Amino acid sequence: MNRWKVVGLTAAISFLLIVSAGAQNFPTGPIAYMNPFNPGGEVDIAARAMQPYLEKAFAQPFVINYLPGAGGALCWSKLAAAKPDGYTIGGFSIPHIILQPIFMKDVAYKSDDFVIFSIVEYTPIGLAVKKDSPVNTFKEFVEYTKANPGKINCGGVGKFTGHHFATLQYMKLSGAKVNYVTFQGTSEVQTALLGGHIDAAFTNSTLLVTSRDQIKVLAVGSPQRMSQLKDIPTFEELGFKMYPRIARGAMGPKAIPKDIQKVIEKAFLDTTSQPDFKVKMEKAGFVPQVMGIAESHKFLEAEAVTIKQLAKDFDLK
Amino acid sequence: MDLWNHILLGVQVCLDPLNLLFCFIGVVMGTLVGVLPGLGPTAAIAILLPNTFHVSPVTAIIMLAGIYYGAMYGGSTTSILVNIPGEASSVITCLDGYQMARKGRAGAALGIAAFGSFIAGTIAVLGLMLVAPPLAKFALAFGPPEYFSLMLLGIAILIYLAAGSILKALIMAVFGLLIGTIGMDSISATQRLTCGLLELCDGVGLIPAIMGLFGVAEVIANVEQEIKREFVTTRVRNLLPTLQDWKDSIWPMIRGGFLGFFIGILPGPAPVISAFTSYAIEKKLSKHPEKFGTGMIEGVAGPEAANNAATGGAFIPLFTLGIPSNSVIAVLLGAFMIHGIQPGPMLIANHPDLFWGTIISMYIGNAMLLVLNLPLIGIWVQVLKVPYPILFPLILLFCLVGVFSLNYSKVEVSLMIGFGVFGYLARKFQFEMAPLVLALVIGPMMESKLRLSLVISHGSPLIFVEKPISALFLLISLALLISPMISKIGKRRQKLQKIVEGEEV
Amino acid sequence: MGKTQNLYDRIAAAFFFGVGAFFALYACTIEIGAWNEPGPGFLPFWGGIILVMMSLSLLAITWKRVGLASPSFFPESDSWKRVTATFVALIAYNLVFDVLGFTLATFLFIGFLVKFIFPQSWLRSFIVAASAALIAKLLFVNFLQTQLPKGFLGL
Repeated sequence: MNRWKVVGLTAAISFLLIVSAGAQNFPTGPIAYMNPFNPGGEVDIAARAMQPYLEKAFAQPFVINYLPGAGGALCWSKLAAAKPDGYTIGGFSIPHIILQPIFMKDVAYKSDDFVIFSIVEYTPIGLAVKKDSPVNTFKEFVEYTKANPGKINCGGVGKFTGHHFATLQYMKLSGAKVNYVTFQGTSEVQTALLGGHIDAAFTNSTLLVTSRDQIKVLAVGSPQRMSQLKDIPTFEELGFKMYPRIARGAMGPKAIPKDIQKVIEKAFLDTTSQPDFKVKMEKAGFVPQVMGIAESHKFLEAEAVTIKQLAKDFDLK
Repeated sequence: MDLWNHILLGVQVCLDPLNLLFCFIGVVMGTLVGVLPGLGPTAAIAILLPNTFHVSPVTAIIMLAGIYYGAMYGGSTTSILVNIPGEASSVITCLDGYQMARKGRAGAALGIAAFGSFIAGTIAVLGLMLVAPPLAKFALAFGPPEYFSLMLLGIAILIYLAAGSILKALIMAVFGLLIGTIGMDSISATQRLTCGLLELCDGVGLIPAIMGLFGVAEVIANVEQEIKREFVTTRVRNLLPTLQDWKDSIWPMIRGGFLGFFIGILPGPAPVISAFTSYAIEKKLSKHPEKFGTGMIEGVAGPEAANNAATGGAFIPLFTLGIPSNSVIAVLLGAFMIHGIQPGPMLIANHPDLFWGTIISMYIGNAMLLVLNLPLIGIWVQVLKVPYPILFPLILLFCLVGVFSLNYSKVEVSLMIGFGVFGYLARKFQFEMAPLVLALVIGPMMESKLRLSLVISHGSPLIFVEKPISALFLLISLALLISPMISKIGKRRQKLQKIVEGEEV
Repeated sequence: MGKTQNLYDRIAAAFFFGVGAFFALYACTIEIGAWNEPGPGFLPFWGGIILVMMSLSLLAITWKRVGLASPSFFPESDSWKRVTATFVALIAYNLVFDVLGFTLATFLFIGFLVKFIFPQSWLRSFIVAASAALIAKLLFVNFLQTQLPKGFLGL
């Protein structure tokens, strides 16, 4: 063989070996996972459920740190600026990371600052009314809200969040007007709904599952019926093409080298495809997902389009 | 009787050596974390959470619950010894507890706090056993209007509590309210005075404020003095409360226990509210109300009992409805879910061993706390004997680390130092700190409940009087605010009468 | 010294007047809203106004009543040195402890305060500072796993 070809081949092979060695050596130390919300929340539960599997996959400790604040914006701003070596990753919620850069001031990140390794679960947002509500089905609810524009109190967590946008979507598709009431946390919505202080709420599936007996669940925003709520129709079935949900998973700064990204992605995919992991998540009211980098980004883009359109329709600022 | 069987079941679960061990670990960790200013039970629970994966859910919950009420107790220790509240609910304990320590009665104060917490904890456990489900329904009846009126009542009590000039206390309270508005408004998502700092988005932190106003300011005020004087009488007369102390404290403890338990059922900052409501009640019932603030043991017994009982009461919404009352309980809720337990009304029926085991463990945990802490009192008092020139830098260090470790934010440390400067100056100018802190706690909640209520009622303020519970609270607030004025007018009239009748000049 | 409580109260009243005015003016830039539909500016605005009014009444009271004589601002002649030094130490610590690392910064902080505020011997200061820094590190970083900065020396 030509001498240069040998050199070229050796160089190529060595280069490949070095690069893959780089990936193979990762991780050599603990991985830090930044949780943008408080302990005990949905992101935390998912992270804790994954922890044992991830530690096996990485063969390194998987440390969960908390950095709550500003509805997650604090953590995400810090994550966008973190060292892109793969040792610092974090949790996220969609649509928060789409909405915050648009609507919040002083937010130091954009949704495309990150690479999303995996969407691990989502909680569809469903509609529930209080126990002694005069309404029993979704159709009745639509009529009720149309007949009483602006009078029906519908609760949710925060402005410019998944719940808020679910309520907006409903108003767009039904033509009815409801009064959106902002609470500071899911448990506040729960207390208000259970106590009958608000008439209805668009809220997370986890709440719908756990408080099932004390409220009337009318519809849910997943593409198919949820196994935990077999008798509850989806919005799609009822003629409303809306799939409001909050999706969560793991992401990291965009500049992490591609081969390290692959390693992390694989660890998450291995974890989320474990059958007992899926069972645990379902029991708690989540819809577990197995999505890698490409799929997750497609999901993100699709949601972004819907949300931006809604924001325009309702002229939100 | 069914209840008896349940108790037996609980005892059985609890006496399992593994469960006992974890209860102990929880209680110890909790006390440690409570004593260290700044670090809270949430942090401890988060740290220990991974260790609970390998044991059964019952064991895990027993340990985590132990951390919670252990921390409540630990917080009182620093309040009494160095005037630094471990968390917001211990602020009231500082008022009389620290004064007692300055008079050499730290031991008695700590002892009564320990016993009060134990007795209150027992009352709470009994309450949990007997009346959990019906009480939960009661908690649900509290919506935004009821909360607002309750907060207003809290402000009325706060005004009533003012030891010195009422005008100055009011000024501090309004100032606290204004500081409470800093941050992102949750209802409209507007940034208020956050100056581009994301850290301020959630508002001025309570812990930096407390550490600054009470901890740093106190140290600086002491540093002013010449070292020749003893700041705290180190000749401690009695390590344990005397019989007289017991006689004075027993009824405040019982009252505080019941009060705290019922208030604790309501989601929200229950331990804080119950502590200072208890203080107000004891002051009102006492024969020497003017002595409150100088070291009255009733002022320690009642609030301490109240805030411990509130901790117990806070478990009711968790077990019966699956609703967390505060962030610590929220972590416990998360722990339930991670262990695959479904929270909600069916929890007690589906997992009786969990419920009854936890309840009995609370009783045992409270007993453990007592046994653990009483001998520690002797050690704590020794800490006070460390010469102040060496002690005070350590206190400052704890404040710094404590605040930083909350959110890893230097902004919050700066806030604490700022509050320290303010607190120091406020002392000089004779302004009280407690109204500021309490307004900072209640203010944001009050504002959000007010606006929420008006959103729900579509702008009609009548909602506050239409709802019966809310109307009741408003009435009591009004009565509370008017009564001192009436008695003042009454006294003036008497004086006037006496002048007229020639008895006085 | 002849200073009375009245002087202090007047200074305090002026301060709170300023605070109240500040909040009220700031609130004008964000939506105040109406009585039955308060906006984000509602509480800051009215709270500010109330604070202004209360500080004015405080001011008024100082003219009505005879002030009690009050002690001088600093009890001892050199108090101000200790107070200022302590504050400076706190601020300095906050500024540099992530650069110097927790352990080193703590050592310096404690050492400075022990040695210079109420003077102790060099040996004593050193021992106290070193043991405090060490124990603090063990307690917070190793045992409680708090994330404290390592600084350039890796301490």
